[in-house]
Amino acid sequence: MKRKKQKKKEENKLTIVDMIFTICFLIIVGGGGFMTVFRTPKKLSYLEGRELKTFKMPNFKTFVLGTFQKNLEDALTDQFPLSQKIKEVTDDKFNFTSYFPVPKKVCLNHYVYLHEERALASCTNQMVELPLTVEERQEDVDNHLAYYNDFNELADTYYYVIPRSYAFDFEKGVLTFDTYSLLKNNLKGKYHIETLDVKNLEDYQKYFFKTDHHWNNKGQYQGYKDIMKMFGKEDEIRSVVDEITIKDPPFYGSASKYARQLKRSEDFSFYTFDIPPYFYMRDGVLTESPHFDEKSKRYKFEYYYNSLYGDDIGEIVYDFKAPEKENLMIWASSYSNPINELIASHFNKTFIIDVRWLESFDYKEYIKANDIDKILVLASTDVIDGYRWNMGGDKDAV
Amino acid sequence: MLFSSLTFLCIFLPLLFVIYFISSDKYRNLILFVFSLVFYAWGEPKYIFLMLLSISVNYVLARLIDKYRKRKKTSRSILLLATLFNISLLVIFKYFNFLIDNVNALLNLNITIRDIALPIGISFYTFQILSYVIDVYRGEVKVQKNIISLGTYISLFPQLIAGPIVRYSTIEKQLTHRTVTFDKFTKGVKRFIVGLGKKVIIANNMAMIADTIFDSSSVSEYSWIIILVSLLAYTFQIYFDFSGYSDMAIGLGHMFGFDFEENFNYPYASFSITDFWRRWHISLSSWFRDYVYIPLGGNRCKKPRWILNLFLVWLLTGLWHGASWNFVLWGLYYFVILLVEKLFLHKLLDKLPKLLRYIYAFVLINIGWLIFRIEDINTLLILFKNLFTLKRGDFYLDLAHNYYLLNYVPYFIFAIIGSFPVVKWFNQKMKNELFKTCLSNILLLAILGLSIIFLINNSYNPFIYFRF
Repeated sequence: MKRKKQKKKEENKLTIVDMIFTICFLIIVGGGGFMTVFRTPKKLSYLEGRELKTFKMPNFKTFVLGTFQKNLEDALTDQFPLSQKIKEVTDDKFNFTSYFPVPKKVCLNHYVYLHEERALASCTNQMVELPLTVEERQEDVDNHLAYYNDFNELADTYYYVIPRSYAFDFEKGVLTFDTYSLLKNNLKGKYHIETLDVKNLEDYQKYFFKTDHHWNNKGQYQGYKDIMKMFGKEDEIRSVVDEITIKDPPFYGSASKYARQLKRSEDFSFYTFDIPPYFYMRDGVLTESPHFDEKSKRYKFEYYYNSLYGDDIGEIVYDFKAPEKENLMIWASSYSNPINELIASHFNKTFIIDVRWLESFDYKEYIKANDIDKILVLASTDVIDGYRWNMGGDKDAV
Repeated sequence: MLFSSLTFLCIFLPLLFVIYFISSDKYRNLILFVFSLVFYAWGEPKYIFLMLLSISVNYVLARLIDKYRKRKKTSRSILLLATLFNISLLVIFKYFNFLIDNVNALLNLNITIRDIALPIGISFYTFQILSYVIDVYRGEVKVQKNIISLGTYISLFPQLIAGPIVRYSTIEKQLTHRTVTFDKFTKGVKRFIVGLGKKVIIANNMAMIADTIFDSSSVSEYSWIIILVSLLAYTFQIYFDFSGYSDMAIGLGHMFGFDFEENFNYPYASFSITDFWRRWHISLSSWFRDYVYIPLGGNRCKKPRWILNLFLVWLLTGLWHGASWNFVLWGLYYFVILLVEKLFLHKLLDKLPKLLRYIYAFVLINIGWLIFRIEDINTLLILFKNLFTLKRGDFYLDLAHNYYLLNYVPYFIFAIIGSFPVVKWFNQKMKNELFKTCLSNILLLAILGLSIIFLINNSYNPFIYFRF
């Protein structure tokens, strides 16, 4: 009898344990869905730098097309309780290789892939994109060249080539995507062309961030000087007033974030200059130009390149109210953002066009309407190969 | 819809729980039927009509078979009609493109047709319907007069798109009388979490290695060691993917009062290929045994006929997995091995130490998966050559170019442990039931949490067995 009682008691205990377990399961799965649908949704992710998906009521059309289903899964991923925290805490925790150094035999003269599309160049801390060849992007190249030949006819046009990492095969020590030669051999009419002098990995490391695909302050300043020489304004080159370095929180570049290598970060340095006052218009609205604000709250994964130099915007106009000077149009990508202000300070009005972010753009009309005297095509490698500039916005472009 | 999606976990399942458990018994099949249709329509709404057509036609034909049971010829003709109808659906939607491609290649023609997309899970539910109609004809099950109940059986979401192939006879009684106790529900939850973990934590990560290497444009240039590692990754991927799905299906079945048969029994712990096929995708092998092999005469006939029967079964098994020559080759590969084992090798194997027998089976299983994974026959031949001639390549270069795949090494360890009955062994060794239950519940909740973390962090998710 006593044994039976004891057994019953144990069974009861097991039932309670299982009951707790089952309730936990139901809370986790039910709570996640309930909170996604009924809680006030979070709109922005500072971690990922994007708008978060929210629950949208379905209708017949969205269900048949499958957009409702896709949106619901995305919304659940984004709005699941603590999802952003989960991502932040676990982001690179499953990258077990980042806890150990890469053996020399493996890394020496090799690309060490930290991700399908990002690698370390040889045994350095330099993160790079994987090499690309012109042949792979021939259609885009032809497309862009047609616009540029039009530019040459419409205004005094200058090309400045910034070879980004995927233009090189550092493993073989060759330039696989030679934008400079490509432009030089294919452009027609009158134009000027220069390139940032990068021949090998050492040069690249000097001018570019270790964890990001953009050029660093040294590269930017060298670019500015080269461009000014090309404009024939060598004697107007502005000197660096100060160099400021942000160490804390450090800079996690696009490559370290993309490859979820959050043990890889670096200091972020930028130069300051004496620039005369100007008016700044963003997408047709007069506003404050981007600048570094010491007081602003710094987020752990703050992307300084954007917060300091500004986001990629369809049209920016710098107006220095100097009618005696010429008007310039910069055919831009994110690479131009750090030097837009500097270059614009040598002109009357400077129109920065990042066509990726414009729904439609008639450049012939624009050049005529704004009395543009000079065009600067700031040709980072992707300006010639990457974006499908059919004069429509390519919102996915980086 | 995928079991391993947050939509299923956090919306579909809780909503179904609430509606199902507050409803009275007589509405429960209808609820399951409607939810199963939503589940199926989630990914491809248009194919819902194909399934409804299939349910309706088979419902009518089975009723006719039952009605004309005493008129043998008539009922046999109806059975033939039902079989033709079901096989035709399969041929049209699964094999038509393949057939046209081969006719074009063979006769040097250029017949072009619009590509027909494969309806998810068609092979699974067609085989279930076939088993039902044949069993009705044989008198092994009663005809289902309620179309909702038959629809529930065919469309039942836990096993709808990736099995196991549940025979009507298995759940005939449960369709009308089933009870869900708290213990059964909890057992189902536990089994579901095990399956979810297998799929999300192990299979998806193994897939990263296998897909990266096997889908690479330079796959034929890799050294033997890289091919071997990828092959092992695929071996684990397919097992944990498919058995994970079966675990989830069985677990969900328990939650709603059904008992499905087991579909896997540690197949990588097999000591021969015959043993492997007793442990792998049990519901499919037994289906072919009962509905193809035995009706053809099985092994109770002359040797040449028996060999032909075996050949046909494995040809069909290969084709069932996909409309591609590599699947045919894969089926025939197993036909040859099983034939050799049955003829003489089995006796020899029995004399070998267990370890050698295990290695023999595991090596052959892996070779089979390579045939299964690589659809292009030329690439397959190159990979075999590189693998067996121990092509050196530049090992360090290969390693550097796939360095991030080393992140998946820990999942290999989980996969190896999970391939053997280690947990079962621990379970038997531990005597304190309360401690054991507490520990396993904590581990299971950790697996659930980790799976959700992976789902939030990772959008890579397709189940391999959807194709079949």
